[in-house]
Amino acid sequence: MNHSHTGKYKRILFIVAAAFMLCSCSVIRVLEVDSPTADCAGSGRHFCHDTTITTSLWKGRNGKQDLRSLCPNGISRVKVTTKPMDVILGFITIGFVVKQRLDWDCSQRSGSSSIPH
Amino acid sequence: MRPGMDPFIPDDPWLNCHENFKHHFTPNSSWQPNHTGVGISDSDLYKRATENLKWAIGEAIDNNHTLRAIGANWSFSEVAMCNGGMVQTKGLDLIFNIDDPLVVPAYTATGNKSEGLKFVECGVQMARLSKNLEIESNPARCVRACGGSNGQTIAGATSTGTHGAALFTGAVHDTIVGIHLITGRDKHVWLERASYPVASDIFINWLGATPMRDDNLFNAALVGFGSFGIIHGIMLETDPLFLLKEYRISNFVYTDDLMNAFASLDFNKLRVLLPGIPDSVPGHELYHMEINMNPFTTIKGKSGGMYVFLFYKVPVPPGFVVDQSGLNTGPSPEFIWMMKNLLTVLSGGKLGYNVIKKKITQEFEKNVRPATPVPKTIGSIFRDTRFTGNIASFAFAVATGTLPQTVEQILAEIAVNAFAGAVAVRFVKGTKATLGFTRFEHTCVIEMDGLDTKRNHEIFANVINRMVNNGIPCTIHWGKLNDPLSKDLVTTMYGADKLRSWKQGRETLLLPETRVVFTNDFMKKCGLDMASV
Repeated sequence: MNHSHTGKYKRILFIVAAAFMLCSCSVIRVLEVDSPTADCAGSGRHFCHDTTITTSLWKGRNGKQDLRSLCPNGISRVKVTTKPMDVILGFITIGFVVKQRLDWDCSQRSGSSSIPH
Repeated sequence: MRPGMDPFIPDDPWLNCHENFKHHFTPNSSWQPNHTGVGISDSDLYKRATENLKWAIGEAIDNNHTLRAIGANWSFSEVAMCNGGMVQTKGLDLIFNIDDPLVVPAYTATGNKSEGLKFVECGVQMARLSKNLEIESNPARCVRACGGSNGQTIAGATSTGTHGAALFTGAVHDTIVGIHLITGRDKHVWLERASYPVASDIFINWLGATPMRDDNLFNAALVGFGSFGIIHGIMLETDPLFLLKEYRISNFVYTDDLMNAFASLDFNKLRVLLPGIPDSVPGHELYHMEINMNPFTTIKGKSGGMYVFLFYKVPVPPGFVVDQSGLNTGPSPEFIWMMKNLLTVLSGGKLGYNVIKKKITQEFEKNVRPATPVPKTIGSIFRDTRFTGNIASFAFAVATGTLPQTVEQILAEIAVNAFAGAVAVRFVKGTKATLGFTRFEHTCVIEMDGLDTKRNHEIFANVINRMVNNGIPCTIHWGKLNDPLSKDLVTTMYGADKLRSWKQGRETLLLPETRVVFTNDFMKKCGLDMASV
């Protein structure tokens, strides 16, 4: 009886832990400007542009990007997401492989124009 | 491909920015106009975008799918979604200055100044507009009204009725005096009121649009949630820069007398009942009024459950430098997600009720703070949204005169069902827009913002049922959660005449083949897709 209860609790604990591992993530947000604008919309909380960056010992830095050059009006905001599975990957490979998702928005333009007449 | 027009591949499923719903678009049907190109003037970029928007409508007609312009993806409901394709408009971000030759003499003859007008492309976000007006313009100006946050595009804010709490000004769309509307594969119009003409032939010829001066058409298209075609540009009136001085009043008692004074906007009586309410005099004029309440501690005859939040317009002192900086900190979306799930699990029974009551009261108390002592600009106050992710925002409007009964109905509902959120009352001048939800001459918008839980959605529906059952006229915000809306309810809320006028406007502006393109499931649910007869 006790064994069956222990097993049940372990299963629940495992499911909860797995759910958090798969669903949650650590997120760092960086606002480049105070009231961010964007030149296009992303789905949900994703910004408009995104890429996955994988750094590894043998491949070097994959996907290194100069974000500023991709944004003619400047960067508006950046978000870096690391999922728990990515942390585990980094832990298992003692930091040789690190994976992160990078989201960013480019700002809308500044200034105003005249209408010719 | 066409210059200035890229295919757009929306994520599948596509989520709105507050992640309240998932949506699926038809693959290979979406477009993203942009202003890339070297050596092209802004004027020509605008005209190129007009041609591209017309072309996108033609593509939708030819391929037999629906189409909608989507800007900041800001709405909490699927009001602006369709099953076909999206035109992602945020790349259309030009702002044009207006001078005398571009307006009709009748406009300036009444004391208006052409430099108070801006012609703003549909994808311009309110944040960009405020920055342009307050910081980049000389002399500085500002918007007359905006919502509580500034992420919406100007076209989105207009089309769904973004309102703020400008007691004597109205909502964002009430500051708009002209619309450049793309209504077909080879048709675009300049729409303005016959009773308030603004644009000169020079301006309209520059657009290349067909002028239409008609009050009913303009008022219908003003709040059309994307169903009148694609709004490409908007002419709006701005004010010379003013500052807002904030006041917060919390040490008062919730009484029938107080609510009746709010209901009748009796400021003499409010001055007696609200200790410390400042006078509204030239140079210090009341602009924004709202009541915030913790529904769990708002008890008749007691104090502590409410505070009143006021902004007064004050002049800009010499040497003032506009500062729109500073972080609008709020709980992270991840924390909100966890709270939502935790409170969903705990929401049953008396224990759950008390847990929610305790958490909401704690959060509410954090906001009862002294007013910020330094006056700020409108663009410095209403900025990036503090809350993102899994937030439920529901709002409905009532006539100010029915505020006391309305508050009692809300409190009665929350007395039996724990609402994981807070309630606010915002006072807004009524609108002329045919389906503007701030339709009462003196409107109170009741906002119920909280976690996006099933229980909260049920409470929103229950509150509307209570309003209907008690015969209190109300309308629901188009751009926020609006599940209770149905064909019958929309008819009850706006009346047959207004619905007919709105539908006739669509029929006048759009050919049948184009009306089909811009008809979505939301309109069918509300009976707005049907003929005007």
